[in-house]
Amino acid sequence: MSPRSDDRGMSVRLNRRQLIGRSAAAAAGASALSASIARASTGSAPFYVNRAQDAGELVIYNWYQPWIKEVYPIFEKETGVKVTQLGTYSANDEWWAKLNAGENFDFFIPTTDWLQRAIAADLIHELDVSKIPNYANLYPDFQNNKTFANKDGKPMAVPFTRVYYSLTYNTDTFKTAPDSWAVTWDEQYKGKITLQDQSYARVGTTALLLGDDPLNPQKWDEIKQKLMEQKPLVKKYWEDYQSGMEMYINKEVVVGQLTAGRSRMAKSEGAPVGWTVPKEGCLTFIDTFAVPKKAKNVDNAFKFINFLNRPDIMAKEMTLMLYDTLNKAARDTLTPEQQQAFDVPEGAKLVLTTALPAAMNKKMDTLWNEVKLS
Amino acid sequence: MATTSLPVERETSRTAKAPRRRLGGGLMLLPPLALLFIFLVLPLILVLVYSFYTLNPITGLMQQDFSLQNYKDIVNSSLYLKIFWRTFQIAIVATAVALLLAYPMGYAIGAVAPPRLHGLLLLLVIIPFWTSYIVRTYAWIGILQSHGFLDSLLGWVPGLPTELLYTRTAVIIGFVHVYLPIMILPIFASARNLDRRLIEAAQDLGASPWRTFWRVTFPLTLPGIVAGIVLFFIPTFGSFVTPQLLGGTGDLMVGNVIADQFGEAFNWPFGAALSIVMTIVVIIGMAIFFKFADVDAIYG
Repeated sequence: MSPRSDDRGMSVRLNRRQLIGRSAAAAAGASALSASIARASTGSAPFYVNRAQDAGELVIYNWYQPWIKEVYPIFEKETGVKVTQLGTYSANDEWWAKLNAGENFDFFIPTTDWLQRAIAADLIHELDVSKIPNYANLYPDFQNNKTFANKDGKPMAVPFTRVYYSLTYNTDTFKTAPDSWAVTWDEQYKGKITLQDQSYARVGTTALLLGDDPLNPQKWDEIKQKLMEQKPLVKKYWEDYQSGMEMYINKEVVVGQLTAGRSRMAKSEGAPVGWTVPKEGCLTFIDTFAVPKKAKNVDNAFKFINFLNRPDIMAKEMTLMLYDTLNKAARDTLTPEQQQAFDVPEGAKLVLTTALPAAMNKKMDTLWNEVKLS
Repeated sequence: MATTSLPVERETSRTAKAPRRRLGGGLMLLPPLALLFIFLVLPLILVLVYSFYTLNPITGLMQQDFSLQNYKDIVNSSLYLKIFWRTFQIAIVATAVALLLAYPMGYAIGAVAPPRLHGLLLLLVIIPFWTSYIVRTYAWIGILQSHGFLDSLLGWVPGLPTELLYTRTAVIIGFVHVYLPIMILPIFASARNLDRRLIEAAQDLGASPWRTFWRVTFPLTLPGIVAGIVLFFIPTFGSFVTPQLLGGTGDLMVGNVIADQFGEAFNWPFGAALSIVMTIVVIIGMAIFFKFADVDAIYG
């Protein structure tokens, strides 16, 4: 349901490195080693340099996002908190496994549906919003939003970035943005269409086209029929975002589903790429800042979340990684031209992905596998 | 003459080996057995235990249970049978193509090249292994994509297939490239140990090169072929990265479905059950293959 592979890398090179890193166990060892060297070097500092010890430490675990790496040294400098990066993950199941195995970290960035599972499994620490004054920088809709709360309504995470499963197109082929997902069923673009290989993305988007509810579809047979019709027109169901983006950059495809962030990234690399939310709407997911239940440095984690929500810091995310954030104050610091790149068509229908019941997941997974095997 | 002396030689070499085996055998086996237990048997037991768990219908979380539902779901749906069949088709074609390449290479290195070059040639075979599987697979995207390396090299030749990326052919190419070394090595080993006098004898007795190959060379290198096929087929059958990166819209393998269960589908028990079924399928497949290849006769 949420991305299997990381959609947060900044450039082609970075993302390849991350892929290499994931495959080679050596890389994990290396990062653990550098972390322990970093720790050892603080430990061996002379007794009079103990500012870091005063302010304590913070262990963070996050997506492969250059932004965090860019800003946490600023946080260290300002607060004296010693930050250790546990490593980076490229899929939610990685932190899920670590958290369940009892590994210790104080801050991480779960995607909403996985966050909800973690809340249900009692793995998340309640937020003390009074310690996060910058919480007020969020768009009002996303403050005290039930989606990110436990069953007593207590906020458990701060929503951070919104990813759109956008309709992405080649701007040479389409002078104006296509206004419907129907374009990905158009014979005219046979072999030039690419879509994400994800059961929820496919079933959900097709449900939108059919006027059905993506989070609780009723027209299963129609959806399956539609997807089978679409399959011969599709060049590739991509599974990692890098491949999806490169198909546009290499002009192997002209239309399909990507993410808004990746579309901006492709554009920033000079490719003729645009994105839109068509009239039927699009699926979105939200990444959040959260603190594990068993975190040892809870107050520092809150301090860090507050720091990240500062307009100047969050704005760096938007300019560096080109991902939309839910932080209004940060967005307001951007120039009008910069802001325009994040604009969603007026009144666009955005469906937020949340954890689905087990039976629904299974049904979507089965349907999607049947389509691919047909 | 030479042929009659051979069985005797074999006999002596076998008896000479026997005492050595008896001496350190039991103790020497301990470390590898311990490793096997910790890194293979224990995780497999864990997977087996998980496969009986269920999901909480409301929270979707895994709960400890003893249920056969996951296995029932697999057996009762034709979907998974189809997925196994497609996986088998892809793996068997890749294995066959790999064998066509690996046999001449392994044979040439082991039986034709002078022994002093063995080290160097084997090094060349193994070098690709130093690069990560994923990087090598990504490299094929660059080579096979339209306007990619292959297109710019051969694009002007009429009638040659272009646009190979995102097809079954690309998947086969990816698998062959990634796992070829592990097929070459056992074939090399059996070719190196080939008794050349037998070939000479066959030729002396008037056998054609073709007949010599099928009656002498091939049977003697069969152990290497069998080992190579097994070593190649098993990891190919369980792969998911290659079809994911290089395959087309229908190139789905059982590994992809399993990987999805641990990620997006969030159904670890079902993924575990599928893994167990896959393991059983591969074991049964290998048992049939060994019977068919008559391993007892080969390895004596």
